[in-house]
Amino acid sequence: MTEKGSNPPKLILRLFRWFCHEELRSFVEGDLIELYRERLQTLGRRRANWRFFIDVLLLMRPGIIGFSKLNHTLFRYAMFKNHFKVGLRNLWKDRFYTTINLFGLSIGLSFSFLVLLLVRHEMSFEHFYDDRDTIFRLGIHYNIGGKEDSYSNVPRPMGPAFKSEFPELVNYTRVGGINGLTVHEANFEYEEQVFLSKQAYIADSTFFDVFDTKLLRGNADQVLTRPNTVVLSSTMAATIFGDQDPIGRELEIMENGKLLEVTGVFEDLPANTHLPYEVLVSWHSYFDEAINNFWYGRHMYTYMRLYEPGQVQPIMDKFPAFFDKYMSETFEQLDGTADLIIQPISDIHLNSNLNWEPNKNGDLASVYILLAIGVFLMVIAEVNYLNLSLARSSLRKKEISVRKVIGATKGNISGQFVAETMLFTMVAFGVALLIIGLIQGEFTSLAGVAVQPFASQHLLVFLATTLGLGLIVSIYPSLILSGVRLVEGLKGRSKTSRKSGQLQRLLVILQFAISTMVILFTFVVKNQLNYVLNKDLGFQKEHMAVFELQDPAHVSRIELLKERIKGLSGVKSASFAFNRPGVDLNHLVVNVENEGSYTGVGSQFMTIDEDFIQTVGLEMVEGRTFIKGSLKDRDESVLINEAARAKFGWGESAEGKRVFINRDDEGNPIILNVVGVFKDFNVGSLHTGIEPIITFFSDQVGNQLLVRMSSNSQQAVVAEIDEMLVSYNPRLPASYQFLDVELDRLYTDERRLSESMTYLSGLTIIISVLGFVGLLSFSIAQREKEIGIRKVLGATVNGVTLLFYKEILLLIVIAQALAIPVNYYLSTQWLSSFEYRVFPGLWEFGLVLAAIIVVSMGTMGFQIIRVAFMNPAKVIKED
Amino acid sequence: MKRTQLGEFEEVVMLAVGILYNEAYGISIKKEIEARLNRGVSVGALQTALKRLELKGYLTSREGEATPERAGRPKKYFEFTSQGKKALEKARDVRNAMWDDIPAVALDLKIV
Repeated sequence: MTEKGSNPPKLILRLFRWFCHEELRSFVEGDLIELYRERLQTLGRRRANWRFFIDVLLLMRPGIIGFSKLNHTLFRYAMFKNHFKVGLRNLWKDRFYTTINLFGLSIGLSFSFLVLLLVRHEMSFEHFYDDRDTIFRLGIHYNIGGKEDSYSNVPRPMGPAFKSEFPELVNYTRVGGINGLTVHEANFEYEEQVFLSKQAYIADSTFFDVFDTKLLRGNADQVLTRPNTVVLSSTMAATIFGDQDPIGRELEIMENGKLLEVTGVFEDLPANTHLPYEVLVSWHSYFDEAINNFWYGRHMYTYMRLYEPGQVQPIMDKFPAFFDKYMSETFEQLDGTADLIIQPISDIHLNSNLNWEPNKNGDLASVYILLAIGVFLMVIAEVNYLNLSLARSSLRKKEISVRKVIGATKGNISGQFVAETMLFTMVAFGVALLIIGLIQGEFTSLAGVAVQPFASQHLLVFLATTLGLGLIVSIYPSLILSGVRLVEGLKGRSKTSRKSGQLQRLLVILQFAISTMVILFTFVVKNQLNYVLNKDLGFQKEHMAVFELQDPAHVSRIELLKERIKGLSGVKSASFAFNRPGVDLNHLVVNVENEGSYTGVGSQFMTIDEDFIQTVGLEMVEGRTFIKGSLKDRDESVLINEAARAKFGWGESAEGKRVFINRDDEGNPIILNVVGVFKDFNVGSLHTGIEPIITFFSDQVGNQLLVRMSSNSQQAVVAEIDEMLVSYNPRLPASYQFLDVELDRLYTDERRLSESMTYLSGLTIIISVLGFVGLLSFSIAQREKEIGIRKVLGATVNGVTLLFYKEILLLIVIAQALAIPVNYYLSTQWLSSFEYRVFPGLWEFGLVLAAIIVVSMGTMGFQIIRVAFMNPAKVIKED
Repeated sequence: MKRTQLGEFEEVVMLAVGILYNEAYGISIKKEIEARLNRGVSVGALQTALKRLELKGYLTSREGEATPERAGRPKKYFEFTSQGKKALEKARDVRNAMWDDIPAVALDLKIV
């Protein structure tokens, strides 16, 4: 065999054969070999091999390439056409399943898409700042007299001192609400018109050194340097000034009468920020210089920008020395310590849970729950599709076998099913978009965030995900189907792989476990919401209206006002105060006397008049309340709650005990006497517990008007009071709320969650039951003959029904067993944000689980009973 | 109207097929062209051109004998069709006509 040595390298030849068009192959191969042998003689093997390789490479051109393993283009077009047609026919033939399938898939896809967009929004906070890695907020943790609190804002001198002490800082800026630290709502007047801004802040001139917001007008270094200047967002500027040039115009802050000159306009901020400022007023000379030097109290939000993201730790390390230098003097007096907190701004929305956040933050646990739900929905929908197509596949064995007889390869058949799935997925995608279009409005109002599902980048990701998932779920059925044994298929004996049946069972369990979990969690959420809404707060929240007064015309006349209001019919009592239920209280340090010596203890405080206790409906457990007009009470008396009595270490009797808060000019403590103790009540939301409260007396000013009404004609009473308030011609409007409504509003997030979870439980259970129905029809089709024989041998209708139910019940119970621990974990995580929480009782849980079983079994009953009543002769006679 | 235009390389291939008459197959054509034009021709380029000419209907092919030097692979012989002949003639006529129309001056200049 001398020839063997004169043949070209096999590998390259095979490459050529692989790509070369069949018609040309042998001729060109002959040419190549002839050429190769000639070259072998003249050039030697190595160069001949090389030239051969080059020749083969150069043969890779359109006229010559024609992959032998694929068929002719024209032929393939016909094949696709056929697949398409057969696919449509099949979908049409099983209209029932197609509808179920399409419905389940598109609903699942659309909701999960929306939910995932929401998650994306929540996770994208502050991402629009290019330099977010180097922007940080300072916070502080105090331990004062044993009361530990973490604040999102810090003493005012801290920012400037940081700048001078730490070279890591590019700059700092202090920010505070325009009408008090967290009160960033203000009315502005321009040319007799009043404009309300809910995001108005005072800021240092260095603001734009820290935040890289783009200024559309004005120079970043100069806009906030002068006193009484203001920069506006472009929307705000357009609202107030319309087409006029805003620069140089004057606005008045109605609350304090300051006149501001507009010096700049900045780009609108997107919604995903914790500080969505639209008005910034220059800090310069806004405050008395004295309070800018307090090292305790009068906090401001303080942000800093570092040169490098990694410079946080050096600052933390240097803080103890800083504390000794600047703060130790103040804190020795207070008997307290302070620790620094530095938060990256992108962490604030989800990871910060400090006191006095400027705006309500998100909740990481809820975001994770949403994320899980989004993924669950998608999984359930896809699993459902997979299940139903597996179930249907047994019906198509004949078709596949015939195709195989005609000459289809395994690859052809797999291809057909992948193509069918993709087709179906595309349709589902279209329907999902329709559904999104329909529910978008509803979703936005439920979520409180306008997500943009139709933004092109979102749509692309959505499409890619849908198709990718479609591809994944199509692989398994296509493999199963392409592996159908020809003869069995033609004979119509559907004794298919037990494997696919197993897989189906697993999938159904997975699906059912997920939906059980969602239902149980919904139950927990509803239960908790119900609990917090109905819990006894220690006072009566019904039949109470709260007026918030801002205008001096009202605030200075409260005694007169109160008398007039008390005289109205339908009013039981009325009170003026600076605080009220539903709004968190501020903190201070109380020096408490115990056996002759004073120790500092942290406490909340409120300021009320003599009618507050009675109007709100608090109970006195000891002593008396304040007395009207008493100067002594005004200067020397306080009330405390039970928690304070315990915390201050006074046991059962606090009457006559002494505390002091401030010192007079000579440094002597101003002693206050406890005259009464009232019963504990929950002042804020039930996320937080009851803390010690100390209460001061003020019967001449107050900005909260609380009115207790009799149960009927409340609207009329409120309208009457409103009219009375208007009659004083206030410049600033008074707003009112019903207390129970407002307290319920503390749980808006929970209510949202509860509502959306209810929808979701409905969705998941529907989709899962559909999946179950699919499985059932499959297993019934498999076992028809068996049931026939059983019936012939004497099985009763009940017996057959039981036979199927036993199997279903087993699956459901397994699913529930899986769901319970996961739900327990999820629920405890979610509940941990509440100080007051209830976990549903065992038997309530059991009831829910049982209800799930009953409902699902009921849904499947129809199919089972049909089999149970079937005429055995019908199935046995076949074959 | 079908394009009857021949590309330059196509024309050369057609001519080589004509010269070789009964002996025109891949390798012989390749060698003929390489000898005449003094340049290398890759198998790929040639095969593509041949296939294209066959599709245009200018060449026909027949399967030839399998020789031992080709390890038993058959040869594919090519010859003109009448259409192909016409296309070649037309190409020649066009060139001749163009040559004829060049004014003598232009050619003289070249000599000077």
